Parts: sequence; structure tokens; C-alpha cells
Amino acid sequence: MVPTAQPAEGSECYQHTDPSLVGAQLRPDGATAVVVRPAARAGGRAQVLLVERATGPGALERVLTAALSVLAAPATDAVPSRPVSVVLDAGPYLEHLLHHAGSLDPVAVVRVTPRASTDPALARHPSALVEALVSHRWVVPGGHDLLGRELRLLDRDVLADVVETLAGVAPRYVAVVAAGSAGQPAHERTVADAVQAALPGARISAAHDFGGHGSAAREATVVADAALRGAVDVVVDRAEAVLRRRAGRRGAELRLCRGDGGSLSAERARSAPVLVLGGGHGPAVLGAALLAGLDRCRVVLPAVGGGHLVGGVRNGLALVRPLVVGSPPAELVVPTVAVDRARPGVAGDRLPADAGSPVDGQVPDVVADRPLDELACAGAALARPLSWLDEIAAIGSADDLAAVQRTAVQRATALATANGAEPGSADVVEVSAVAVPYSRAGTVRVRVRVGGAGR
Amino acid sequence: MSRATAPLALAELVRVDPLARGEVAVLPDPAQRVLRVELAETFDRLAHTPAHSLVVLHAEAATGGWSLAAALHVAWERGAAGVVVPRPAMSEASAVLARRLGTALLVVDDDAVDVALELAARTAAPEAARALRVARCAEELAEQSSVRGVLGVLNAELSPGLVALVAGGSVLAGRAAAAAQRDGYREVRMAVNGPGGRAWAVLVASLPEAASAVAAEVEVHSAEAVLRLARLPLLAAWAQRRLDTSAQAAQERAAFQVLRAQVRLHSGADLVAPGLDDDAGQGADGEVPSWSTELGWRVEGVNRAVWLQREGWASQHEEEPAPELTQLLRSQWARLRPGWPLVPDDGGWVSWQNSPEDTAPAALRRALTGVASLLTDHGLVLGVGASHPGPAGLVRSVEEARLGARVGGGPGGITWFEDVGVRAVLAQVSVPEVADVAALALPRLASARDRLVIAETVASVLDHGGSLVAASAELGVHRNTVLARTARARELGLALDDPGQRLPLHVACHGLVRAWRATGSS
Amino acid sequence: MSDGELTAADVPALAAGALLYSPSLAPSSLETTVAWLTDLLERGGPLRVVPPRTLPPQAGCAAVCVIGSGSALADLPPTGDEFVTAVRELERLSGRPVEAVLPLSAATVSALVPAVVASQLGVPLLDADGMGRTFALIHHTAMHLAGLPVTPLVVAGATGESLSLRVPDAWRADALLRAGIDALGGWAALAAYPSTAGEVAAASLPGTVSRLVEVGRVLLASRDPDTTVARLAAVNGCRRVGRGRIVALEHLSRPTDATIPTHPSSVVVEQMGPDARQLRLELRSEIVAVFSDGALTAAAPDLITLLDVERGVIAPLDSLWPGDLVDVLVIPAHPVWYSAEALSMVGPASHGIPLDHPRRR
Repeated sequence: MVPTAQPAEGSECYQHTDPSLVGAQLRPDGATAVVVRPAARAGGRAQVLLVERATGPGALERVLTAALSVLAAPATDAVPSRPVSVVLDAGPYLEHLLHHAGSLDPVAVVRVTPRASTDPALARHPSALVEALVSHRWVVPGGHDLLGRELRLLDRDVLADVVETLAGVAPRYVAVVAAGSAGQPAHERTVADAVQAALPGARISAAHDFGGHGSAAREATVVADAALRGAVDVVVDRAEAVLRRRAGRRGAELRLCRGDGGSLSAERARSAPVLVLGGGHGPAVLGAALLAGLDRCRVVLPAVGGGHLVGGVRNGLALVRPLVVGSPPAELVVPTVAVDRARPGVAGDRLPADAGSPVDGQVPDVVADRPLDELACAGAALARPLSWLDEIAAIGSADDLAAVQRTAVQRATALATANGAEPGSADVVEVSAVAVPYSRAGTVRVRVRVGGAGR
Repeated sequence: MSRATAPLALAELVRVDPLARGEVAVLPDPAQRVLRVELAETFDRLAHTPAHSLVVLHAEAATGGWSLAAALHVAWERGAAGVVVPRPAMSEASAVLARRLGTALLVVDDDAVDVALELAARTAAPEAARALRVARCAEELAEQSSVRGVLGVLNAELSPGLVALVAGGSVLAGRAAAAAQRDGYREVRMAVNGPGGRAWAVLVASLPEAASAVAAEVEVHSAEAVLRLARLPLLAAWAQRRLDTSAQAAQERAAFQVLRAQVRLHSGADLVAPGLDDDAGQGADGEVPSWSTELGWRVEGVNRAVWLQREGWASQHEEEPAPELTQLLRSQWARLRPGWPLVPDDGGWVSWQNSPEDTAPAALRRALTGVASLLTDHGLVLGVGASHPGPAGLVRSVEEARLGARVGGGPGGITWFEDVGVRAVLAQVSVPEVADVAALALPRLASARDRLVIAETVASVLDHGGSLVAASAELGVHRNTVLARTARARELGLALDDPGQRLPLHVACHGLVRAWRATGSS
Repeated sequence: MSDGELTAADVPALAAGALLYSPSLAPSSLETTVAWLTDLLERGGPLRVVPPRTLPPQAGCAAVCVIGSGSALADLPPTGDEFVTAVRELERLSGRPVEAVLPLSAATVSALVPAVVASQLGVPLLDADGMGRTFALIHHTAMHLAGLPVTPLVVAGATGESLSLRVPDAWRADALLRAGIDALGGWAALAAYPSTAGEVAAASLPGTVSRLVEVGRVLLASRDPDTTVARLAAVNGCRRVGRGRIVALEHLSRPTDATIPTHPSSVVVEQMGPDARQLRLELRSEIVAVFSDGALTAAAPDLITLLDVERGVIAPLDSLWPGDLVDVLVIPAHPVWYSAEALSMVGPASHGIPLDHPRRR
């Protein structure tokens, strides 16, 4: 199905029978669902056909049922229908849970580093929000450097002791983070396998699955991922139950909205719940742009409590940066849509960057004129499968760099396909490579985003 | 500095190896002189580059990124002719910068040192480089099969100069601006002779003024060499085209004469005689010759003809217009009035509008203003006939149009028969004979230097029933001038005030004006 | 910071200022160190920050910094004892107790760790440093220019391993350390320049720690780029070269040499407005030069930094994207860096750009 303004050639993007999609948002206090008709052609505007809101328990079920009742008419023999596409933005609900650690299952953390911390401040995570989710923490000596070279052999005796203790505590959710695992995951995998063997029922989140840099950000990511697993399972189960009952003979396919304004399949969301974290601004930025028919613009959204938020869209993808949760902020390695509070004194219809300066932004502005939840649902309905890669590589020449970038794009494309993109449909690729300061010559940080068309 | 050592221009240099093997990224001023070649391997060296050097970057100065940007800046500061950079150091951002600074930027794939040595050899022996260039140009010209293609090569080769092919004051191909006299440009002309040695066109190159007399001589010499090379391919291409188009023109001319003869035969009368009524025309309309449609002509329905002829052309004794002019007119006419034929006939050209029903002339009046510049360019006037049905109507409309053109005087060189009315009779006055008679009857006027002005003034005053005010308005001169000229006319023996002489004098002046306009007033 | 004390509340401003003086890293790379320093100051109370001349001239001092890559430190955080280990080992090698520490370079994470180690050791932090920003090599300091020896020095890694070094020629130190730093995981705690307070007072750049806090407060106070630039101008002479969009990132844009870490790359910014010029920023670990339409307009030792116009924050060099709108800011370095001797060490030529420094033309 086809949530894109610019589908790849040859993909079955423009279905002829029923070009309507469902987008939904789950918040702590309620839920919204919309039915959206995507733009009929590139550069056209998407349209919202129906908005349904509910509050209280069962809100998600009620809004999904209302949206599906519009679309799930039984297929006739003459016009075979495809399954209804439903994309759910559960970000605001999950982020709310993160801030209320009591509502989530505690997480046991296993760090793999050359040495245990000697200072208590360094033994815990710098963010109180992350630390509140952690019930136990163990350190296993081992680890690699940024480029994947081994710094210390994995201490198997200590590992055996840790696993034995772990088995005694028997946590349901375990996060494993090893120094340098983005470049070389061997130690992390060994530890994860050992934990899984001892605790077959445990759900384990390993940092190398998410890539990225910075031990604090990588640990925050796996802790949040592990903590959210149970909650995401429940949300996905609830949504799938509605879809099974209400989609009729047409059937329905559930995807979840990523924090960066993309989407992924329900199965992938269950196995990497942290990817669906987000405050709901991401899909709203995307939704405002698509409803305006623009794939390059800046979006001004109303902020809760007054003022405005500003986001950007380029190549039909919302601009992203690493996700930050809590205060003091803890950065995660997963991307989220970049929104900034507009500087004070700037009217909603003027962009902060251009206010009072002769600078020509050269980008059209979209000032959101609908409620945030409606925009977010529209953005979710139209969210395309995306992937994001952030890695360090060593290069010796410009040819090396080209090769590294090519490989990164290939892997990001594979990831986008795993997230639900039609194979071969990757049509938006952004690549950035910058030198890593104060490192050996030729060390570069490569970041890649790939967008595909949904199946 | 002799002609052999006059420096090469960048435009010349990029057309010979080693630069011809490379790529011209930015070339803002092709006429830029190259006095010497500098191999700059350090920025120190670059900073001491003399003006008008072509700088070849090498080693430290060709490491890409900042070095090319800095080199472009220094080259700009030093007034260098341009910068040659090895491809690995080239970037898109640098091309943007070169354009902004107006500095030539040339990219080479060969080793910078080899390139610099080869370039130094070229600049040290400009004449040899020019010979190389001429050889290369000859190859390119030989590959062209059309006049347009040949002119394209010439314009590329002599850029920033412009080249046009001109025949009888009309630009046949190339860049029209070349034929115009422009400040700061010099003209080089090369006659192109057709078979039998008859000159049929001229190649005109308009070159920017050179920096010195010697440079000017070199440029002229070099341009002449290139233009000379172009003559043969041009003739070959022209001959082919002429074969095709002049055959068609001849066929059409014959076809129109047959059409006219058929119409006359059918009516058994002189159709163009005044007083022919439309019924008779209709009767002659019985058959439309089938071959007319093969030529793409439509004559059934209503026709309104136009007649084009050279201004002042009056006599059958004069030469027919050149076939080249006919060909040129046909192509331009086809663009301005699509669907209208253009047939050479009796010293002029016939064309007509065909429509199923009579249409209001207002639209056509507006449309014909669009051909004004064509008329001016080629020194033509145009007459427009009334609309009449069928082939007979066409022939009648053609005669009307021709009369209109002969009477002339319409705005923008276009005269409508409907506006002329009975004045058309004046067009029938035999101009040479009027002139001969006037020489006997009005000897003082005929021998006066200002005879044309006086005849025009008298004709105009009599046209307006003796009103000096109306005549001064028509002639665009002050009333007192008209007064002075009529006084002069009386001196020359023209009895304006004698009622008995007024009519013959009026007719004679119209005839004399046309005769003297055609021959010049003295 | 007031009355010569650094409190936990000053840490955000110190960190923000530290990022301005070396924009090579994203703020999140400092997250762990900022939390650690904050915790130490909360536990141990405010830290004394004093000018070197207020100490007895014979008091032992050492310069401390993170050597290697801040990205590596963010990925492999300290266990907590590395800096103390380095200082203690240096005391042993020099035979003189360390009674105060100063930052080798008061910028980025190296502006925070001297406060950490001072707090851990219970000694004052000197309000001075060796660079006034960050340069590539550890002998690129005012102390070295004044003749103080770099060694003996000690580096201690998160792996629990350490190296000590003694070189007669200061410039050899980095060459000898490089492989060791790589093997320690890309970064290490460095203690060097064993000296006295009297020597440091004469040889170091004064007031650079308190200036960081002052600059940091400016950066935290406003997100309006024009306001920020105007206020910075008053504090440190900052000026804006131009505002524009990043149009290209180019790599390996000039030959790399073995002596300076990080390969060369370029950022091309198309300036906005009527007389738009093309700004070309040449990067090593920091921005080392700005060319405006090919003319060198600023170069190391000038501090060149980018302000993200849309967000009103310093743009870290490791996360630039084409399309970003930035202000290019230039801040003059301490005058000591513009002498012929200093320029040959840290000027444009040291980064493979053999052009005269714009401030010397």
C-alpha cells in the first residue's frame, strides 16, 4: 500500500480500487484515527476524509473501529480489494510510560567494558529517567574500540558468575550493551546468548541492533527498548484484535509509526519497540507537509502551552536528529523528527530563522491549521518505511569513501526492506559523511537514510 | 611582435591539443589573450604570476578543495588568462566560484607538467597553433551537410565573433547581428561565388576589436582563413538545397500562370477589367484545377490575395528577383503566415488567404502588421486585394493587390486596394513615359536637384484639394515648408493655380514621384 | 561561577562554553562527563578556581586533558580513576606533588576533566590554560612557546593501562603516543607539563576557564543567532563572516600528513543575500581556514565555528548535513598565537595551506 507522495516506478503504489489509508495515534489520555486519501499524483495534496477521536479506556479500539467501518466494506468479486493499511503512532503513549517507570517492567542491564567504574556517578546512567527503569546492573570485562578492535578479552569466568546471579534474579527484560559493539558485536552477542541460555523466557535487547555512538546513548536505547517490550506487545495486540474483528473480508495490515516519521511492520515493532518512541511531532510534521502537497518545506506546529514548534521536510522525509528523552536530557541512538521551539516573538506564520534578518530561507513554510493529533494521524497513515544508519568507518582514499558509502546505502536499504519497504523501492537516499575529529586520519562517520515505498 | 608571434586567444587555444582533449568548465571571455604559460606548483609561484598567463596548477597548488578556490582567487587578482587544473582537483563548487570571479577554468586529464610544456610550445609558436586549429576546423566543416551546420561551426570557431551568410542585404543563415554594424566590432567579409563565378552571397564575420593593430591583423588573417575554408562546404550544401527549392519555386510559378490563363479562357473576357460583376466570376468558377491541390493550394471558397514587390519596382524591364531571395522569403513567409503559399510572379510574389466564407478584414489588417519587419528587412512593399470567390476571384484579387502595391503609400509599406479606390488608376500611368514627357513639358522641374521633393509636395497639395495644412500633416513637414515648396514649384513652371492645368499636373506628379523614387532624384 | 568557585550549577555553562571553543563534538558526547562533574561538585562541594599567581610560586602544577578523540571517550567512558592515576604517576616521575591543575586546552571535554580531577584530588583548578582553544598536538601550548618542557608525561586509559613518556624534543611526544592512544581505545587521560605555579603564571593563557563559563552563559541565554553573535563579540571578539547554506561536504580535499590526526575535508557554504560569496571551510579536527570566494579570510589559530541558525546553537562538526543554514563565526585567538614562531606551529601552513595568515598581511 502506498503512503507516499513519490512512489518508486514500478511499485504498486497507486492502487486503483480504494486509495484510502488509516492513521491512528494512541496517547495517554485517548486516541484519534483518521482516514486519509493520498495524493493522486506526485506534488498533489493528501486529503483527510474522516477524523475520529475518543478518550478513556478502549479509546484505541473505538477510533479504529470507526475508521475501519468506513473502509472495510466487503470486497465484490469484480473489484478485489487489498487489505486496509493501518499505521499506528504509539509514540506519545509509550513516551508517557517511560516517564512513569512504575508502569513498566524493570530492566536488568549487562555492560561489557574493559573495567568496571570506580566512581558511582559513572557506574549509573547519567539520566535519572533511564536509571529509574534499571533494576540491576552487572559489568562483564571485555569490549572493543570504535573501529571494532578488541580492547580486552571477554572475561568468561565473570560472565558465568553474572549469568548465574541473573538466573537467580530472573528478570523478564534484559539489556546488553558492550563497548564498541556497533563496530564489533562479538562480545555483546556472546553475553546475550549466555543470558538467553540461562533465562529462555527473557526478552533481550542488544545495543548492536541499533548502531549509533556513545555508551550513554546506546545504553539508554537498549534500556528503553527492553522496558517498552511488554507495553508495545499490549498495544499491538489490542490494535490487531480490532483489525481482525473489523476489517471484514478485506483484511487489514498493521504497521507502526517510527519516531523519525517513517513506519515499520508490527512484528519489527515488537522486536525493536524503541524505534516507535516519539512525542507524536514527527508524524505531525510529515502530515502537515503532505496535506499541503509539499516534499520540501518547513512546518510550524502549535506547541502545547503556547508558542510554536518548527520542523523541516526534505525529499519528502522529515529532518531528524537523535531522540532525546527526559530532563536532564538523555540522548538515544534512534532518530526522531527534529522539532525546535520557535524563538519567542516570532509569529506562527513567520519562520524564526528568517525573522528580522535578510536571509532568504528559500523553503516554503507550512503553518499547521489542524489539531496536532489529526496531523499526526495523517502523517502516520502516509508514513513510508524508512531506515537510518550511523556508523564509523576507516577510509584511505576517496574511492574507499565511495565504497563505504555504497555499502552503507546497501545495508540501509536492506533495513528499510526489513521495516516493510517494497524490495527495490528505495527512492530517497540521504548520505552524509564527516571526519571524526581528533581520530586517526581517515576515520569518518557515515550516516544514511533510506526511504522506500510501503508494500 | 609580428603577425606570426601575435598571442593566441583562449578561444583559439582550447581548440587545439592539449586543451582540446580536456574539458572547458568555465570560459567567460574567449577573447582573453594568453601571453605565457605558468606551471604553478606552489602558491608562492602562483602569487607572482604575470598578467595574461595561463596558469597550470600542479603539486601543492593542485590538491583540490581550498587550493583550487585559492588559485582561482589569485588568478583573478593577478589578471591571469585562466586556470588549468588536473581533474582530481576539480569540484563543482570550484566551477561555481570560477563563474563568479569571471576566471576561465579548464580541466585536463593528462599530467599537468606535460600539459604545461605542450601549452608553452603552442603559445611560443602561435602561427603553428593557428595552423593546427585551421586543420581541425577544416575537418569539422567537411562533416557538415547543411548551410546551418556550416554556419554553426563558423560561429563556434570564431566565437566571441559572430558570423552570418548574407545575400542582397538579407541574412540567409547564421547570426543576424553579424551583419549589423556594431560599435567595438570589425567586419571581415568573404565573397562566396556560385557556379560560373557569380557572387551569390557573402560571409560576414563581426569580430570584437582587437587590443593592438598587430593582434587585429592576426585575427583578420585567422578569420579569413577559417571563412575561406567554409566556402566549399557551404557551396555544396547550398547547391543541394537550391536544387530542391528552386525546382519547387519554378513549378509553382508555372502553375499560377496556368491558373490565370485558365480563368481568362473560361470567362472569355478580361477578368481584371473594372465592372466585372461577381456573378460572372462565379460562372468562371466552374472547375478548380486538380493540380492546385497537389501543390497544397486552396482556391475554392473566398480568396484574398497579397502582392509583394521590391519598393519602387515598377518596370518589367528590371531584373527578376534573385532565386535566393525567393527562397529566403518563402521560408520567412511560411513562418509568419503559415498555410499561405508564396509564388514568384511577374517580378513580385503572390500569396493569398483562403477561407470557406468571407471574413472581416479587421483581423487580417492586424495580422499583416506582423510582416512589417520582413518588408523593411528586404525593402519590400505589399498590396492587399479585396476578397472574391473562387479561382477567378483569386486572379482578380491578385490584380487588385498588385495595383495597391504599385500605388503604395500605405502605413508600414502595406496598401489595401479597398483604401486606394480609384487612385488605382494612377498606378496604370506608364511611369517611364510620364518621365519622358515631363522632361519635355516641365524641363526646369525635370532638371532640378530637388525635383522629387517638389513633385511629392505638389501631388500631396493637390490630393488634399489645395490644403497646405493637410499636405503638411501628410508629409510630416511644417506648413511654411509646404508653402515654400509650392512657391518653388511655381518658379519651376508648375501652374498649380490654373484650373485647366491642375488635373494633368496632378496625374503627372504622381507618375513622376514613382518614376523618380525608382531612379533617385538626381 | 562567582568568587573563584565553580559549583554544580555552573557546569551547564562551562560545558556550553567548552563546545564553542571546540565545536568538533556534539553536546551529547559530553553527557557522561557533565553528569560526572556535576555529581562530584554536588558530593564534594564547590571547586576553587584561582589565577596561577595567587598560589605560592613553588606550588606544583600539572596540565590535564583528554588526548585522542572525544567520540572515543563518549563510546568508552572513563571508569573514574584515569585522571587521578595520570596525575599521581606524574608526581612520581617529576618528584613534585601536584597542588593545582590546569586544562591543557580549555575546550570541549578537556575543559571539564581538569575540574573533575581537581575535585577528586581536592586541589584548586587554575583559571588558565595552554591553548585558549584546541590545537592538534600537545606541544601546541603557550607553555611550550615559553620554554616549559612537555614531559615527563603520563597517559592513562579506560583499560587500566598507562604509559609514561620523556622526550627531549617536545614535537616527538605526539608521534610516540599515537599508537599507544589507539591501543587504549582512542582516548586517554593525559597529565603533562609538570611545573610550578610561578612558571604557569608566566607561561599560560590567563582567565580562560572563567571565560568559558561567561561564554556558556551567553549561549544558554538566547537562541537568537543575532543576539548571540552580538553578545559574544563583547566577550571574546567574535565576528560573523557570513550566513549561508551548506551545499557540499568534500573529503580528502588535500593531502593528509602523518603528524596531525583527522583527514582534511571541506565544507562549502553558499552565502545568502545580494553580494553572496562562496565560503569554503577547510576542516581538520577543527575548522582551520575560511576562504571567501577563494580569498583566505580567516585561518587557524583563529577559532572558526558554526552556529546553527535555525536552532540557535553551535553546530557540531560531526553532524553537518548539506542544506543546513549556518552562521560562520570567527573568534580571534590569544595574541601569543600570531607570532611567526607560533604561526609556523599552528597557523594555516601547519594544516597544508601555505598561505600568509590574514592577520599578518
